[in-house]
Amino acid sequence: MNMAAQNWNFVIAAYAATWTFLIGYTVYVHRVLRRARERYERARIVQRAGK
Amino acid sequence: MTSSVMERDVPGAGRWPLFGAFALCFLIGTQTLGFLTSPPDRDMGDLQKIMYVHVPAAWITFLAFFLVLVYSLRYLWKGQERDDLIAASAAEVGAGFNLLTLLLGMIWGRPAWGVWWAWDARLTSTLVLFLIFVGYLSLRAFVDDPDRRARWTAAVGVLGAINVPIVYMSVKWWRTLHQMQSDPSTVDPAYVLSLRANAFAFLFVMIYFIRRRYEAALLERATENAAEAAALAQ
Repeated sequence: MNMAAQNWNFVIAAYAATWTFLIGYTVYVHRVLRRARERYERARIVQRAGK
Repeated sequence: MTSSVMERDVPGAGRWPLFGAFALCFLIGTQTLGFLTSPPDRDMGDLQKIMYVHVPAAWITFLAFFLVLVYSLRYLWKGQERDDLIAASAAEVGAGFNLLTLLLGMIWGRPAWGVWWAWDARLTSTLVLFLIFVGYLSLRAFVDDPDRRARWTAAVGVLGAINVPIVYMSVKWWRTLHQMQSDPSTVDPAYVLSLRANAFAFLFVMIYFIRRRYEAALLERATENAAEAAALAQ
């Protein structure tokens, strides 16, 4: 494999790492957000029932 | 005495999903621009294209930790829980970009320097910065009392953010393997537009991430406060 082709492997690896992080964190944050909203709605129901 | 998150403070998603979609499209556009318009570098060839993700990731790391500094100091001064939650959200996002910066640096370093890692001043100080904020996030996970958690992590956040100028200046203070700071004045004009555009794209992504993480943190705190109120009412 020549130098130019080897360089492209590293470029592809760098962009793959970037998109893995960006997509992974987006999925994580949306999951955290959805669970937080569900727990919040449940807590509000309990709080209203206690009043 | 701290000011707690109340039910009225909990926001909806608003137009943030739209902003996230815009940030994503903008990033795809700027990365395409970088690939299509920048010629191979005289010394590094196509490896130069890693600059469009490595340098913005490093800048965004610094910016996120600067936000941690500002909001941690605000929390210590005013005691408002919202400031603590913004600082924590920025710390988590900053730590993510910090890790990405380190990984991209390693991927670039292997073909450019012949090694994945060197105990160079810039690399080592960036690793120390990352470890400080891993400590910050661990502390948040282990301390249950919200006031104590906020005060302790605000102190760690301030100390951690003070490390940012050391990381930035490390290439000047200790001239080792890593090149000097990259900015539009030190980069070939052929690469400046793509570098700037990618930096803005990363900035938009960071804003989106911090805002959504903050929204989740507000909901988590409001849930804790609602549960406490329900327990007191019984």
